[in-house]
Amino acid sequence: MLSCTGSFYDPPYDESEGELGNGDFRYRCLSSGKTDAACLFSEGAVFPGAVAIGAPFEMDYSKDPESEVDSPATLAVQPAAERMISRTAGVFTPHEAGYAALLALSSSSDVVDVIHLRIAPIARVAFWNESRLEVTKLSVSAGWTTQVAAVPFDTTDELLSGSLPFAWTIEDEAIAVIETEPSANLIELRGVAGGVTTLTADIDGVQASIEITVLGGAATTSSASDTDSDSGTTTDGDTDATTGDTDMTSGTSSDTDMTSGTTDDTDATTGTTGPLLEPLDLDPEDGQGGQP
Amino acid sequence: MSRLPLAALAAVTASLLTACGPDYSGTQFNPRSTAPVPVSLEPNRITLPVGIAVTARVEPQSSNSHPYDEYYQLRLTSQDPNIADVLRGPLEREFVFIGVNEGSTCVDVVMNDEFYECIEIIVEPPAS
Repeated sequence: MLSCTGSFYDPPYDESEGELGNGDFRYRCLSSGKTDAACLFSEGAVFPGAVAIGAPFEMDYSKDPESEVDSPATLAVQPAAERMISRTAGVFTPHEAGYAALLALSSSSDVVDVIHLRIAPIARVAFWNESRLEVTKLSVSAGWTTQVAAVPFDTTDELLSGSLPFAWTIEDEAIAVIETEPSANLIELRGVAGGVTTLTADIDGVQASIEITVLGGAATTSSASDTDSDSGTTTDGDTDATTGDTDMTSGTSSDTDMTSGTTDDTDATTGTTGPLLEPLDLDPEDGQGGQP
Repeated sequence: MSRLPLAALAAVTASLLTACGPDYSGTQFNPRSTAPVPVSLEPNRITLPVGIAVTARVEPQSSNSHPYDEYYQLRLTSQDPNIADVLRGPLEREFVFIGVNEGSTCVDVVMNDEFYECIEIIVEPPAS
């Protein structure tokens, strides 16, 4: 999935065979790949089933060495109809719902291969944890951080790819704050003080909100709380926001730094990651819930 | 006196040559790819939505026993590329028909720089 060309950085891609069978189209998230659901929580990319209107991406083409077509190994890709997808400086931007063909062209403008992408408007926004699983609420201890992503879906509930500048707001910043860039679909959230607040992601007026529960007292105050309160499945153990004495998944009790896996005590004010996620449909045995 | 037989001979020769060549009777499209939405490639009409590209091998048909072999260089040209475009495909006599904007236009069938016919191409709104 990862590829490098010479000394240049070659962004990760995922490929799909062209409809004429002469090679592969390679989908790439923009360099700021964390804004594209196709590259979330992954070192690679996932070739999209559909892309969102207005969500840019990159695409190129690698010819199959065994193809009988006479053309260079790597070809430029052009949209068939600019009305559906335009291309500027190598970046493709979808404009209208429907299907749009992308063409791999030879130097003489002959079509070597074709692929169609489906373009759809965003119908709903959901939240993903780091296992790419949908979550409807989230818990974090005061002083700890966790990551959450906003991902768009269409009316058929298919994930939409392409980079999208989500706008995030949090209802009560005395309870939790957003610590990352405001225009991304992946953010880091820090619990400030015990309580419940609402995190909202917005993309072109399509909004979704998620309940955030911050466990424990103020970040600088030593306290302990039982983290089993909601799901009763993904956490098992006491959390001390000051010491970081937390075991989210195994049910054992030990001093654990959730980021490094070392057994040092953790100062909650230093930003060590220690999320308490409560995903939907998670098998408590799979160990995914609550992993940073 | 001698000019009349020569002219007659030339006329007979020309008619013989014509009779030995193919006689255009239309074009057949053999799709090379499957579009994600329905398209229609009929000998006298092509229908496809905006944004779709369909690749087909194009076979000029002859009504006599002489086919349009490789001697005949086939070229297809859209009369309005802003509605529908036609590009050469990867192999000989393969062409890619593209819906660009709604409307209808015509695709000229030209072989060895000689115009044969115009095939209607209708572009429908984007299909989702």
